[in-house]
Amino acid sequence: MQAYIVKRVLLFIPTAILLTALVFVLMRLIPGDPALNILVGPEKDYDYTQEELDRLRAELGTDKPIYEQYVRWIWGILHWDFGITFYSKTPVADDISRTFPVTLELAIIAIFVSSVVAVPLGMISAVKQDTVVDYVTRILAIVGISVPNFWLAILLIFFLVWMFNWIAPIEYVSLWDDPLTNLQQMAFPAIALGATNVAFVARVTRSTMLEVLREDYIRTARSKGLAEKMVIYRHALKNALLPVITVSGYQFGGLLGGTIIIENIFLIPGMGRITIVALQQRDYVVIQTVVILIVMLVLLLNLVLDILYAWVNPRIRFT
Amino acid sequence: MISGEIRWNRILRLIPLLAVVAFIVGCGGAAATPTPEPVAVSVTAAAPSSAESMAPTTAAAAPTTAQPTEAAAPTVPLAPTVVPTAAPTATTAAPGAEVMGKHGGVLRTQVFGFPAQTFTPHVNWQAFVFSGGAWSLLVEFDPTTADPFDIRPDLAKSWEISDDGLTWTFPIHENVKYHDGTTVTASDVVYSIDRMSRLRGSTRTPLRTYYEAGNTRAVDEHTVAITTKFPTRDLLAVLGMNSSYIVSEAWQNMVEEGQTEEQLGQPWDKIMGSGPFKSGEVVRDVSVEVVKHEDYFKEGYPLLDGIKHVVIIEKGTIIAAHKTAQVLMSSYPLTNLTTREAVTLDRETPDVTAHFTPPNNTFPLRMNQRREPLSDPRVRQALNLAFHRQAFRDVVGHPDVGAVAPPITGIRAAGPWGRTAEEISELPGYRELNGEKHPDDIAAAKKLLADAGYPNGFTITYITTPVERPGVVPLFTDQLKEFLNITLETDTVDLATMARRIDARDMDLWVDTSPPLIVAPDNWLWQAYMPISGTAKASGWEAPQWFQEAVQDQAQEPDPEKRLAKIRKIEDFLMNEDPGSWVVMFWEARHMIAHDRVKGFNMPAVSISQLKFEHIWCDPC
Repeated sequence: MQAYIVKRVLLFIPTAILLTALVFVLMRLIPGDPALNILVGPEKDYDYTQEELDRLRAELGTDKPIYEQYVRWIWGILHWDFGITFYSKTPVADDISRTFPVTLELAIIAIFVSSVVAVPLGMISAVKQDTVVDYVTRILAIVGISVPNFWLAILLIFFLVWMFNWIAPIEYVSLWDDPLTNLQQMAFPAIALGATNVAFVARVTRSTMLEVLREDYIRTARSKGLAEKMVIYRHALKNALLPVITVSGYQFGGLLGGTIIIENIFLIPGMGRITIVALQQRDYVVIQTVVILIVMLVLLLNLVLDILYAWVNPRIRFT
Repeated sequence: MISGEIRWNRILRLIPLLAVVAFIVGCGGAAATPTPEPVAVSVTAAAPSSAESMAPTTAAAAPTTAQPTEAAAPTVPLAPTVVPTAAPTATTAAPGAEVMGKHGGVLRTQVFGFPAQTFTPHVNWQAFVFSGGAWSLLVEFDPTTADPFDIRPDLAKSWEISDDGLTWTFPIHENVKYHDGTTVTASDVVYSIDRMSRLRGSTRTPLRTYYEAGNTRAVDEHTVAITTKFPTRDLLAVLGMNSSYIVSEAWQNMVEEGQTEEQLGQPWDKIMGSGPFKSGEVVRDVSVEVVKHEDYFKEGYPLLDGIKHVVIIEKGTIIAAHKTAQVLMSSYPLTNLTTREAVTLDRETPDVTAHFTPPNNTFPLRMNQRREPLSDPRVRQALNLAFHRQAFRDVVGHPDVGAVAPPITGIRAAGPWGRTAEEISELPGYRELNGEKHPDDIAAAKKLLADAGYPNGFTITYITTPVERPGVVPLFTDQLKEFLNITLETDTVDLATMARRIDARDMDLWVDTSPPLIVAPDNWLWQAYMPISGTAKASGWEAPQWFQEAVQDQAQEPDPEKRLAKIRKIEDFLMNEDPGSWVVMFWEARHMIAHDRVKGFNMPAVSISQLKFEHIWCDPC
């Protein structure tokens, strides 16, 4: 087991380095120039000279070779210095520490909401296989997977205004200051964000449940005369949930990415808000930090899940 | 509509589905952070001190007191664009006068974007929507009247013009305090005016039309004299622009110490003005708050306790926020709602109104003249003639509102310099025959292309952004193909990429709408066509020498009729020979959404017009 953990952690390091390089290079490949953006500004004022542009590039450090910029950035990260934003000239760490908890909260609520809905759905669908309930659930799952979450988000807002003439308060309130208002603000974005996840997890739950329900020990349990509820909840569901939990963990990274659009629609002041603006402005420092943070989270989550899986299922270690 | 109202007939149909949603909604419904309700009060302003007498004073250096009214014309006749409707008066409330409105409350507005992460006075003009109330100006467009061309003193108590019409003397109010408690002095005004004429930014171009840096002086601690290059009344309009703030020299020197000019910028909480509001909490990309300046020099103002500008980018969310009264205003010009969407919102929501400016905002097709074929003026003129502009107007505007002006030539539609719709309908390039593009214009355009060596058309690149008005690109494409056999290859890019490509001149055509700065032909001609302008630089158009001289000449013409004739001559060239930096497609009105709870609001004439919110209140906020 120890050897397996060491091996996985060692694999984590080159993966992380590769991803930082990839993110860094990809950012530079996108057309656009932060110095130019600052000079032209939102006013789109093209009244600048080449000297002014060159001086600003030098100030921002974007005139240096890419490898030099990359090394300086990585060196900074290793010293817990994520850099200074090109525009607000404030530490990126400040923005991240303000927005990350909000995004994390949204993603966790989305996972929670989707799990609460998806697992029973998948389970019912499996137990009532090939009945109307099963067909309806499967159709809903397909629809859920197909519908983009940003579109669902807009529909939700339209629905709330049309039906109640109401949307959640647009000024964000933190969970600690006012939990009820915070819940109102987070509920609908979480539904929009988690909808795809509901569909996916429901399908996984259904298929694993079907598999488990055909196992010998389930037949044994039934032949012992156990009540059907007992068979399903205690014996089948418990075993079927393991892959579901694993899949949900992997989905977490996707949910974090999905927050970028959802947060902008529902006015949630998380990382998605600053990322959109930073993308428009080519504020490399902000975008790199956000992306790397998400990447590291996903990598870490995968690492933990792999280790947990290996711990639960010893066969994994030897393959 | 009333926020929180539940529509039962719809709910009954969907009871099961709505049960959970209703629970969540039912938990709240009101705004998360209710603001204090306004308290109805009528404040009687204190009498101004004797030093703040209402009438303009006569300066010691014997300038003639020239009240800018028709009855008391200045010695040197001028051709004003901005016509004050009354003699300049002190802007503190008169003794016994009541402050109209209710005090209290925080007004929440919607803004489309967070235009700059830092703010630089005199440079970031778009950011005025967040900071407009933070500053005082020497003079301001009177926000209390519906007349968009009325101008009144602000920091200045009055103004006088010397006999030769060159020197303007402004006595300023004493004891005007910046937000840090220091006093506004004449030397701050001198510093501010020279700063705005020196720094890159929108204020510089119009100001330098009339003014050379170094020609403002402090007559005494509370009087300044500005000497212009030539007699002009349009100086007032420039000084009344929202970006012509008077800033504290000491403060700016402190916050900008060590910064290069290219990257000037100060955090939002370091804004220091003497206006009715001072900076409050700023959450990057989320909201900007300004709070009441208790020591504001106009007694009884501002009425609001504060303003919170909330950044909302998504159209659906913007509309939802207006419909549910979560925001009571949009902050012009930063909106991404089209004219049609604004009109629809207005019609669907009884207590929400879309206000429109006069058609002052141009929608130009910009041309890269540094490469073929647009380097040839005949090709540019062919495009100018061939477009069927009415079709653009119909797509972008709304037929019931008249939000889009009839197309006109290079000089804006509104104000004394525009043309009537009838005049425009006769002009080459703008005329129609039976509702269709006039065939003579198409024939003339084709001949020009043939003369230029392109009888069979050509292919050009057009770059646009996803936020461009819907329907415009297909019209460009279809009309160019149909009328001139020109193939338009469209690249849709984001703004940063667009800036990069414009810098590299890697395109032929692009659209970049241009909000007006002031309603004055000088400003427009300099902004669009003169070598100093960023527009001309970006397109590569070099105005002929005679054109440049004509632009300068008309600005100095004191006789309004003669001046108009000179402007028309410039227009004729732009209309019949070479459209210059761009082809003006049409002039459009911009809108601002306001809930009926907002009181005391008058729509500004141009985007840079002052909107300091001092006179606005809401009931309830």
